Amino acid sequence: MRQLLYDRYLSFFVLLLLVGLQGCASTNPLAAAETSEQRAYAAYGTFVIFQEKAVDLVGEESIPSDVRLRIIAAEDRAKPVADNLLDAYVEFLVVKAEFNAGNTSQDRLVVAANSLDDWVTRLAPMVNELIRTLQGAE
Amino acid sequence: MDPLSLIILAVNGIRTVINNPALGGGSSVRFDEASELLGILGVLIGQGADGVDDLKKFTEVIESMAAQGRGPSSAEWDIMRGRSDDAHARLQAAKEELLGEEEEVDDEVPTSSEPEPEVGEEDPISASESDPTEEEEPPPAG
Repeated sequence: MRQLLYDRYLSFFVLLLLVGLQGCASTNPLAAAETSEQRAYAAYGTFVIFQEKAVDLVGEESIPSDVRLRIIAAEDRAKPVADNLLDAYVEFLVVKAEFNAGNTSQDRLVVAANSLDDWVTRLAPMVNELIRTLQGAE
Repeated sequence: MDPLSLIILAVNGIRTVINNPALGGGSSVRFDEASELLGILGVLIGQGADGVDDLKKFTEVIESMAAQGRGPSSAEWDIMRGRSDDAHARLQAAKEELLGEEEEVDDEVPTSSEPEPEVGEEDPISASESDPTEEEEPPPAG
């Protein structure tokens, strides 16, 4: 709960800061998302951006091996959560299609959407950890 | 001052306030944690803004989606998943390489930590010192 509050607080704070200083140029994909699907894609995409940043840094010979291994370990921990988010998204799409066809209840759709949001919430601190490790390398 | 420098300045300023109880900060765990992440953000922004540019472009994609009231398409998901899997595979390959290097170093360690020669036993240094070629004195002048 504390982590959730913290992440939401931070997202808001960072968004406020960046929007305030850069006009309309926001750099917070999660804050721009409005639906569960958009939030899931925003969280996953943000993870991918920092994964690619990790690849760049791990290729830097000037960075000590132990630091590079820590970056890889942070990515290793986050990747299964990101994959679970993808699975939850696929499940959400199935339930949504069933709902639109009148084959399932709205409750089930809400449960699937909540599950998707839950995986977004779980991925966020993992991405933060990856960012922290990247900072350590820099 | 360009916007990036302004952001860095602002992030550092806010960190200072957050870290300083006398200025009203530092009074809760959340602020401490926020301070830490703001530091990260400051560094990430300050190191050339590559990641920020990517984030900015991606944010625009999400904003566009929200404006159109649509979800991500399966093609967009496929591309993103491909990028993720590719990055993960490259990191795993780098991990194997790094661990391989570490093992090589470990293999070399025992040779350098061989037991010291006992007293009386001729060690390589004294052996080289007793090299007859080095002991050869130059012929007396004249």
